[in-house]
Amino acid sequence: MKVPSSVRQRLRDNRVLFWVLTAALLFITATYYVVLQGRDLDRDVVNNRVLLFFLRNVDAVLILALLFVLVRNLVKLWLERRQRVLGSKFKTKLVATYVLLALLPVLLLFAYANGLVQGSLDRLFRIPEDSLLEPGNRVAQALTTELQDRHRLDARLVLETIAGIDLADPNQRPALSRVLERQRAALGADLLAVYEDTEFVHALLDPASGVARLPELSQTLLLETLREGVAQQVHALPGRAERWIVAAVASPPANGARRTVVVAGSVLGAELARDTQSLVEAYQAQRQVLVQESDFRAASVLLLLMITLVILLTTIWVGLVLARRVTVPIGALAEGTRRIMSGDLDHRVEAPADDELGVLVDSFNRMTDDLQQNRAEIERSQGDLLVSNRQLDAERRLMGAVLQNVAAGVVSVDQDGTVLTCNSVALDMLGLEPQGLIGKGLVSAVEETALRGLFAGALAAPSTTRDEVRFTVDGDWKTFEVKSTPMLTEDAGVVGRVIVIEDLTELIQAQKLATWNEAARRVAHEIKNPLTPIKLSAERLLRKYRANDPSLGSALETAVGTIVREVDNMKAMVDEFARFARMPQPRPTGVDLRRLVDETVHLYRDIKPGLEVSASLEAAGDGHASLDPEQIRGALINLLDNAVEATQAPGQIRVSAQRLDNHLRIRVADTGPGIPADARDKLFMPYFSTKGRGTGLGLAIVHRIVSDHHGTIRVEDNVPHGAVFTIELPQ
Amino acid sequence: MIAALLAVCWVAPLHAADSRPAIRDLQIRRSDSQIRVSFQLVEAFDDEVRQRIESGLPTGFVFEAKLEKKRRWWFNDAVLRSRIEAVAMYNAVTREYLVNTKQDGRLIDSRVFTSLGDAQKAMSRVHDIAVFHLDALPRGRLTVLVRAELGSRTLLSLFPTTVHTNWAESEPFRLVAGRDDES
Repeated sequence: MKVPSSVRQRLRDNRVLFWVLTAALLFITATYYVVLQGRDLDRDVVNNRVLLFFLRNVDAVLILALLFVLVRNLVKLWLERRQRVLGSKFKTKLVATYVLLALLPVLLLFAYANGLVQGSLDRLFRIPEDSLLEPGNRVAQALTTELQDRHRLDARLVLETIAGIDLADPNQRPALSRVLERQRAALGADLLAVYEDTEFVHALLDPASGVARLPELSQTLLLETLREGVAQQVHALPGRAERWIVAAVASPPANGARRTVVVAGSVLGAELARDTQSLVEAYQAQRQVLVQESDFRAASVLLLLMITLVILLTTIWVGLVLARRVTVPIGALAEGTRRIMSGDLDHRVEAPADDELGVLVDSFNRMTDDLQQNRAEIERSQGDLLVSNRQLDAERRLMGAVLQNVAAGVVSVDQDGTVLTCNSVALDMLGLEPQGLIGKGLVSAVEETALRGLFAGALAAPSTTRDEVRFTVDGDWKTFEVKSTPMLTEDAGVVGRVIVIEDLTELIQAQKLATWNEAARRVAHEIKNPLTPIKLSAERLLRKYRANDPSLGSALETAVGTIVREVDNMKAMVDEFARFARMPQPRPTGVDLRRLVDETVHLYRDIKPGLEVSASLEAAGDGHASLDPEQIRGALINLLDNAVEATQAPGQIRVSAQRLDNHLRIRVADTGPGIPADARDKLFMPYFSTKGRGTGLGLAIVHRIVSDHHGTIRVEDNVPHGAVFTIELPQ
Repeated sequence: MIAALLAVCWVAPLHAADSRPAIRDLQIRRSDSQIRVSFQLVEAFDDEVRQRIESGLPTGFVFEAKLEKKRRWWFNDAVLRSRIEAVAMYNAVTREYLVNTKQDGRLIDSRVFTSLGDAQKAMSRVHDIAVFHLDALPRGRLTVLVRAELGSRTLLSLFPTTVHTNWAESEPFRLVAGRDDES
């Protein structure tokens, strides 16, 4: 888990604070210990006080720390809620739950444990009724008291006995000694000593007492005796267990004379002294404990409180840390969501979490990455789209300019025939305004009947169509070629059609003029050709006549024959012209195309040896067609004549008829030399021939018949050689 | 009724003050470069203190004395301080009370008593002890204050407090070179 630097810094600060507080507390405690050591206090008392001092300070620090943690977090929560920080409500609930969960059991545990401890202390400080410590102490003290009382009486008796002896006189010391010896023996005392004021006079020690030396009676005893008249003392022997029990009695003061002090005492045996000392010390120890009861109770409470506070502080702190570990990532996620919503996709959530919240944070950041990448792609696509749009717009403008400037009329329609675009040339050709055509059906928008029918057929055709139509525009006949091409797209297929309307009037006129020029040239040529033999024949006859040539007769016969023949040729040529000129309009009737084709082909089956002429009619369906049978037959004959003439044996001529959706297709294919490419454009013009003879009207008549049937004819190369003429007739 | 309450509130503390520990009979005497004090601690021995002494635990008082220079418009200036400790230890076997007296940590007196009364007197009376040694004579009006630290108590079994008597203050005086005086 990656820990943020701020958290690490805070942990370091907390550790430093902890050690500083601990060091300060230990220093203060040690100072307090040193201060107490300077006093004449018992070691246990010092230790007890130091322990209490330490516990109190630790508790105070813990209480302050607990209050600080609680108050600090409560204030922070309050501020966060007031500032409507995201996640503050959740954090408040979590912290409250943790604190309550920590407080309730710990406080209950403290109360219960304190009760137990105080109960134990009650039992400890309650002196049992059958305790022997106090009676034992009383016995020990009574023993001492009794001995002291007895020795006090002994001392008083001795004082009375020696009242007549002058203690200041050294000569009476033997008498004093004898009296003391008698009294000691009579009283059973181990010690009798006599003082004048505090000055030692004489003393007698029982040798059977086991003590070899006189006790060093303190001045305090003598002074108190002189002051109070009587005093007692328990004198311990250095290094030994035995004790002296002594009592002293002083004579009454009398006019400033020195007073006599008699001390009587006995030695308490070692065993008895130890026993009584043990009894007294045990009782004293019990009293000391009782005296310090409040301290013990305070120490126990403080110790319990310290443990409780440590647990409480730890649990609350851990709870707060856990709450923070939960709420910090959630808050960061909420803040991240807000930033993302505001469009800041560069924002990333950085929250210390390695559990499910960490997974959530990682997922959030990955989602943000994806969003950022998608936005970049969208922006890039938008840029590309903008460039494409600009290019398309430029292309559209260019296309528009091209369309507006081409000589042909261009109309685009959708699959329903509704006009999408239309250039001005088309509008001029159709005599319409833009608003009268765009968005409307092409067929319905056009008024010209012929054009309407042509458009209807073109729009219905599945493939490209090419038609010519003539109608009057402003009173003038015009010829238009209408080419309809499907608009194909790669994905949607056919989406409409493009109709190109081209005004062929001038072209046709030019072609007609050229045709007529050619026709005039050919007619002149054809007429000139017979004239030459006629002229030569006439000149020959004239020469023979002038020369009276005997062969004039035969020559005349030959010349007349030549003239007649050439005139016949000229007549035939004129008839041909007349027939081409008089070709009637077709009269379509119901015809069996299969039969028509089969009969026509049958005429050529054996026309040339080695030439195979056949018909293929399987694809013609039922063969029913609507056309002028004579004209179509004539057209087929023209094509078959040309094919037969062009095809050398061995060769093949194949005629096929095929029915398509809405038209018929008739093909005449040969295996001849084919049509040169440069001759194809003029192949269907009148008086054009590749053979160098004939009228050149055959293919022109075929083209005229097909055109009159609203059909088309075209020539292509056959494979591997030859030519194919294809006639397509609408049905 | 209010007057009665006020009277009770006024009289009760006075009565209580008479039974509380206090420093009495504070007297000072200047001798050469020393200031000697005498005083008496009264009402300090209650049953708790006596039982503590009789139990054999070291028990005593700490007397704090300070020499202050009087200032009219500000707090007095503490010139010197001194501590006198009197601690009694009872030996139940020998039935003797040892009373040690220390001044600023230095033992100045140690006596043995066979009665508790004598030991109490020795603990509660300070007689003519030189508490301040003057290197230079402070100028201005001086005063000696004494109070006794009676021990520590615990509030609510938790909060430690030190129990003191009130400060007993001597009559203000001035020090003059070469003169011993007694007040």
